[in-house]
Amino acid sequence: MFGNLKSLEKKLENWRSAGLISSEQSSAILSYEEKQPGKNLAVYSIITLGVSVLCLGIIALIASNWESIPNFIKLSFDFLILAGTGGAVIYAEQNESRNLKQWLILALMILILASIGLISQIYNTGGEFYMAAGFWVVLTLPLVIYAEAHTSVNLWIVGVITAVSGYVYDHKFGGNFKEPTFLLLSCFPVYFYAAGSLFHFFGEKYSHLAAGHRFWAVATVIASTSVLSVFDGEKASGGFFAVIGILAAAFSAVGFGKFEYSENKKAFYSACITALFFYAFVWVKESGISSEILDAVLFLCVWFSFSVLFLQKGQKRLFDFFLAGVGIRFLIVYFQIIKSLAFTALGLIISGILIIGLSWLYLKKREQIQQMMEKFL
Amino acid sequence: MRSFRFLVFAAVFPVIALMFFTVYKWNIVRAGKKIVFDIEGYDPVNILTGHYLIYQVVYKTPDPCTANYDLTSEYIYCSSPSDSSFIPAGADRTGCTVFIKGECKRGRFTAGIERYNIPEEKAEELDKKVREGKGKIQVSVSGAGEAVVEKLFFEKE
Repeated sequence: MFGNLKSLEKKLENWRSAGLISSEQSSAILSYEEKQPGKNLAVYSIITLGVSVLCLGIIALIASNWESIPNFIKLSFDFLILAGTGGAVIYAEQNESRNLKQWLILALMILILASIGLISQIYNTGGEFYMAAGFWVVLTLPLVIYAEAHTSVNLWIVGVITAVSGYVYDHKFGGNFKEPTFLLLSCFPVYFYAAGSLFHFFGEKYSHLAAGHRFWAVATVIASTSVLSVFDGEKASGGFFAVIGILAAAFSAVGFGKFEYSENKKAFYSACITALFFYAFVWVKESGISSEILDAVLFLCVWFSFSVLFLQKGQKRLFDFFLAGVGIRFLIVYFQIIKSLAFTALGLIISGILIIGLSWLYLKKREQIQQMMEKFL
Repeated sequence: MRSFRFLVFAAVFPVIALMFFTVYKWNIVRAGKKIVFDIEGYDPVNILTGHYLIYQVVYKTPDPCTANYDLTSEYIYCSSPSDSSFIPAGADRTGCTVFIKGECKRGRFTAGIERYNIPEEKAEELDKKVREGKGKIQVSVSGAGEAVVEKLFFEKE
């Protein structure tokens, strides 16, 4: 909770000044926190980077074309490294070296990708990169279930996105770019949120997978609403929304279930409303009936309902982020409405005052706004 | 806490799976039926794409996929001592000495043999040979119709 001691000292000083704690209590808290063996995020991140760079170096070494070395030797060397790394993961687990185990899992995941590349190079396997990504996703799934580090989970999810996107662009809609983009941008948020909810439902040992998938659910909604805002609508193939609707309903039914509903009913309803607004936004873009105003209204509804959802889940920073997004989108609407006037000197001055004024007001009154929204909701 | 056995499985499974995949490909090269095709269609300005030579395989019979760029049907290239032809996937293959499975992609029959890995140091030599002569590939084909490119060579015209 207290990222570094300086930040803690500042907080303790504020609390002491406000009369919430005494000087003795402040000293005791500070003394206790100084003794804690906290995770040094900087060192951890640098070592993770080092592991990745090392593995990329091994990939480059294997990928360099040593004609004089028989393929059998290259492959044997590669499998030796893989087996050795796998063995090291098991050894780290037996010795309860948590951090070492996570780094080795990450290294093994990257080396598996390198091995797929080597085998592809030696046997000239045809096919696209997304096929290799899909193969890698399947091979590393058990490792990701066991991993606890966010890096491994995020890397795996990037693999999923690459494999699925590649397949859709390669196989669907005959080379058309917009339709598969619509399909992907509307499906990914559903999949990631449903998967995150399912992992959350299965319990604490899958919390890293739940957190990772939910992060990507939010990230893909941001990407979807931002990218689709600049698309003109285009008719998709028949049954498109029927498929999406069924998927959304099925995943929601399984994902939300009794567990999540009983945890936080308000958040459950907010999530349903957010999903409805999001699909209304996608449908309007896809059906070709969109206009600047309708796009803006639905965009604002999606982002505002997200801010409400995160407020109900107690995630204040995400609440701030999405509310800021709402504010920025309002400004874009403002510029869209006044158009040519916006770029006159007076227009720019008024816009600048408006931006500064609203931002200052929000910063000053943020706590009251949050409390008011919490009461209302 | 996940079980230790699951961790052992998670660490070992990818290694075993990759070994199987390698042995599978190696067996096609070792025991598959050999067939040689002419190749053409590489970009005369920039022959290599990364470390790969991308080309079009010249089948000894008209390609059914060229009729429609958007076609994604699956076909089988059927070769016998007397002739060769393309037949729909699922059709009777008893007359085929060698058959290669593939599908239509962007107006071409694609069987996963349309590229060959080129060592960096050989790139310049390859460029010269391509311009001088006719490229050919030797392909190994398994009994299930899967093909692996064994080697690339050139004959002077």
